[in-house]
Amino acid sequence: MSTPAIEVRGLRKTYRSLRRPTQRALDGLDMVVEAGGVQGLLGPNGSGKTTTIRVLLGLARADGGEARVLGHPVPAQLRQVVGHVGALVENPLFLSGLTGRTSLNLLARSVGVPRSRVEDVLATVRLQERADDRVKTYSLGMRQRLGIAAALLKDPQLLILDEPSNGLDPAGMKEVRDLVRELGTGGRTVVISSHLLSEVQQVCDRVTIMSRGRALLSGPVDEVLRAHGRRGFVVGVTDHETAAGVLRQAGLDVQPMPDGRLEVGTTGQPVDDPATLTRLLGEHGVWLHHLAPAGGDLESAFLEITSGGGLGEADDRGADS
Amino acid sequence: MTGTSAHLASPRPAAATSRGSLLGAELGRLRHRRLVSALVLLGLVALLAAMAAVFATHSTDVEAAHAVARQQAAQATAEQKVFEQRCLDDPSIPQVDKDNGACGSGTLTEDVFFSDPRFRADRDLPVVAIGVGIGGALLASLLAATATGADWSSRSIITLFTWEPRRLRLLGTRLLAIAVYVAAFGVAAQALALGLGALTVQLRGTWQASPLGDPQTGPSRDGMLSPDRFWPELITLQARTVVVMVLVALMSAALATVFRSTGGVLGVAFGWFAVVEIAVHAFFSGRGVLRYMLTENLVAALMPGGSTLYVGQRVTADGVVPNMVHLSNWAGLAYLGVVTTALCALAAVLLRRRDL
Repeated sequence: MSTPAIEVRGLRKTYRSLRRPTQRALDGLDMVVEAGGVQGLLGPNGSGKTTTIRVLLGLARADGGEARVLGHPVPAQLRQVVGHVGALVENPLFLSGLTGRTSLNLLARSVGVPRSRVEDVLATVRLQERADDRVKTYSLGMRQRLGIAAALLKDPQLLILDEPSNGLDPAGMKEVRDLVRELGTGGRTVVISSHLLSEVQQVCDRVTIMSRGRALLSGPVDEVLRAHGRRGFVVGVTDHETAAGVLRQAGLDVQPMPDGRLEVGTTGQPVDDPATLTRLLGEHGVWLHHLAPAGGDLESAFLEITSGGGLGEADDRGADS
Repeated sequence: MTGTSAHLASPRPAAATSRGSLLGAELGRLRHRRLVSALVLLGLVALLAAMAAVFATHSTDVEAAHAVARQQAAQATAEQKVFEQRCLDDPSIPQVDKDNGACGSGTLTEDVFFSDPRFRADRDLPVVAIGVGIGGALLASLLAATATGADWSSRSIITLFTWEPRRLRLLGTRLLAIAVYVAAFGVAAQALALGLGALTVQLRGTWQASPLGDPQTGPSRDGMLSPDRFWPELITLQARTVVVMVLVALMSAALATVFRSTGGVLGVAFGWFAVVEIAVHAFFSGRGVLRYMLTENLVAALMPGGSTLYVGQRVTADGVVPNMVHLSNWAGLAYLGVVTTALCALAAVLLRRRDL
């Protein structure tokens, strides 16, 4: 069995400040990230995702508990593994007056990475054409990609990306997600923190759901959805209006889809057996030409796991920012 | 999937970076910063402009200067005679006062008005070196403060620490890079100033030692270089200015690390020099506290022979005698060195302890 990429046991961290109330960011966090694939850290703002990443990277000191990265305890042995860890913490942080290429060259020089590697990562994040422009002229998405490029310079075994889609437009988000998905292949482990359920669902193989500085649940996304996600059905009928009326009368939630089909039971009362739908509609003379299970969604899983505490309800004790 | 242990064994960039490459990267960051380049350029332009002004305001035409002095002396003497006559004729002035010379007398000589127009090596080259040192120290402090503060304000320091997690190593390398950069700038500026100064001496001045009693230099040779040790003393003075520039830059960088911003450094500098030091001069100058002021130690470090401070007075059998404290060049430099070391240590402790 391979060494986990990240192991966290009983991690605690409280921020104390004279100017602000004490904030308990991590409250005995336990988490294991297996090597390989994309692991999501999902939780509302303030759930402790960024603090966890900061502690793993030695940027913040934990009050208690232990953390291991690629089998090495951190921060004690962080220097032994940091060459194998690429990270993007918060928004990408570069001196705005330097060009993208210069920023990467200087980072590469500091650890003896050859310059050819800079060109490789610029190509990977599709930033070659703007590499000689100053960072201050970059859009947020380009800065994000530059940050990922910097994290990739070391060709890391573990890539940690903190909210990589933050502030991006839909096109930029898709671009970053595709990139993350691509980076998570070939044995590399990618850990991505996000408060966006759809992002985690689309990109991640495994997910750890966090709330109030603790991990509530961890496992493959599929398993989480199977165990907790609400599953409904997609129904294809000719007479949409009659069908919707019949189903609603039976207490089921019905959502029309853009292609005219109906999504039934994905919210509200669950549909335990698809035969219920065929019988109901058949009794009213509405005949099905399509019936398939709808994809489970992480939002309902999250709501179930957090007992209704949605992503919008940030934990006021948390310290992520 | 390959196990993580196997990945670690593969030849990949090591976390532990060699100091050389990290130092090179830090120097590169300084070199590529536009503001840093602008400050260096500003310094060189100011130096060239100052030396051009020095060149333009000196000449070797001593005879013409003597002629001007003679003319001024004659005019002043004539005016003096008119005043003297009026005074003597004035009945309201008691005769006793007139007899005691209240109306003035005698003629004014050209020596009183003569100003040597030549750029004198022993008198003026040290002034140039000190000027370059003071200007350079100001620029170095700004350069170090902005170079360090920008990393905090842009938070790019976070990116750096994800590459080099040993904070003290990064801080040490950064301070070393700033010291090297500022020292190189200081040496270049002093070399340029010396070259231009020597050219000015050659074309618009003299290498001859200034005579004692020269009205322009005063009876003593304070602030001037010894004729027999001119070059060693000048080079030593220039070296001291470079050391001062480096120390001031390190103080600024350390403060920027403590406050995590450039603004913090500027605020502290203003508070110290514009409030604390002025208050000490105004209210506590007689109590020996002056000895611990940065400005006094900077002056002592730079001035040929150091500086002497008045720190109050004492009553003796011969009357009231001023208390004087002499600060040598080395005493001034040592004090600045201690302050710099203390600030760097504070920066290191806080950087190590605080979360980022």
